[in-house]
Amino acid sequence: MATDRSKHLNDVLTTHKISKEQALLDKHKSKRDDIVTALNEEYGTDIYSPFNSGSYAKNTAVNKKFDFDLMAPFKRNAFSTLKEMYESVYDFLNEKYQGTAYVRRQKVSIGIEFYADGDGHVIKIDVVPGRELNKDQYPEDRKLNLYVYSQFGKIAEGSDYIRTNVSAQVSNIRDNANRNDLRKIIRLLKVWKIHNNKVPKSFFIELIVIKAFDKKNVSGSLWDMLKIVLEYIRDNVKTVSLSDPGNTGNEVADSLSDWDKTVMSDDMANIVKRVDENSDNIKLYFPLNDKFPLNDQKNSYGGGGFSVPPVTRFG
Amino acid sequence: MILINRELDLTINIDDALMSSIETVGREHYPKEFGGILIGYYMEGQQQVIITGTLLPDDYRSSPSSFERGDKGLKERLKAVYEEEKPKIYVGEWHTHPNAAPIPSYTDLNALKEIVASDAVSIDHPIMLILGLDRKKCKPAFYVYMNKRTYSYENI
Repeated sequence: MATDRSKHLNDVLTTHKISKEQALLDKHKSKRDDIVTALNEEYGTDIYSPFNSGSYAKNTAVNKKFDFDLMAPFKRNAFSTLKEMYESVYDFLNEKYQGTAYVRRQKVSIGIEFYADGDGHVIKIDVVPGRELNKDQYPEDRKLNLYVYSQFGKIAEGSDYIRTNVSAQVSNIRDNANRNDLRKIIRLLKVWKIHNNKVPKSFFIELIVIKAFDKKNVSGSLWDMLKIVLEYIRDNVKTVSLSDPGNTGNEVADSLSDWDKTVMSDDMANIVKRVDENSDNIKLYFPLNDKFPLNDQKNSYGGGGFSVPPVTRFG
Repeated sequence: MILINRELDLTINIDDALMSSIETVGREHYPKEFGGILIGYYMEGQQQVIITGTLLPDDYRSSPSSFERGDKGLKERLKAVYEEEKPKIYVGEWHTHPNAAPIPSYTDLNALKEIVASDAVSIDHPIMLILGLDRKKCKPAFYVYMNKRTYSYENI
């Protein structure tokens, strides 16, 4: 029997809802709060308030693989160089969590991966240190310089820092939240990326989906909308410009090599072609999360975790 | 009060005193609509919901034929009951239909659809209690949202 593609995609989103992993989510929040407290205690008046900056903050996270990104904004005079800032935060976190977590240097962040707990849960939190550009300027414009520990792709080639505005990056998604189903499409592409071990960074996916919504009339059923976006990526990923909303000078498209862009274009073409040939193929690219099966077989109220319902109108 | 939907084999337990207090609150706002959220917990392989209380909204808009429940402060209040020794969670909604039957409107059905679609909601099948109110009588009716429609309950 043919698969109802839009129904399947809705089921994919349901089984990948972040709120289904409530216990893991609560543990991430708890560890994040510990880290914020520790950073505040260690750096005192040298640090502004750390804040969430990743997919959880943007409400585009899926439950299959997620971590928290924590932005740690420092004052201009806290460190004489960005490298010193980065190394100081690394040394502090490494010492604090030695024996309980792997702490490692990443591109612009310090990754903390806590050892699995009794439930087999692994908490991952990336701390991104940033320093304001000029003294006392951060509260005004939220701009920060990030230290680049190692360089990937073309971004920041020849320099050791990235100037950005992470608050603007988060707002970029939040401001687009009322656009019809934008975040659903972003989540579906993240599901595709995670289940198929694909290269593009989540940030790249977010920006190219927003671009597709800007350039195309994305409407219709969920499959119709996804297909329009897939076709946009297929046709444009090799040439599209994706400015970082945090700093238009940063070209996020350069974070993917020409080869990887070609592969992504081919991937999109294959998905559209094969799903059009046979609707069952949609399950290959966008699988359900088996950990949270749909309750079709046995009736139950389902779920059971912490929920906060949205503003709702009844009649 | 115990209610059942025999087709789905799902039950609801709600204390008579809680039902009375919900009716009292609804009547205070009559002839305008009013409502709130239902909190409780699941049992029996999630085939039974025990409704233990209601949280009334801090912000809302209402008229004789519509009611919009706000979410101001809701997260904090839900967090507080979730952190109690016996955690309570959001299980559904209630609202009144002044001078009308307690039958879900198209708006009500859409409301449930949007609730389930919300990423901040982990339950798949919320309960909806509608109180059909007039000056003398109150007729309550419970529903659950499943398979893109509502199913009603009967008293046992």
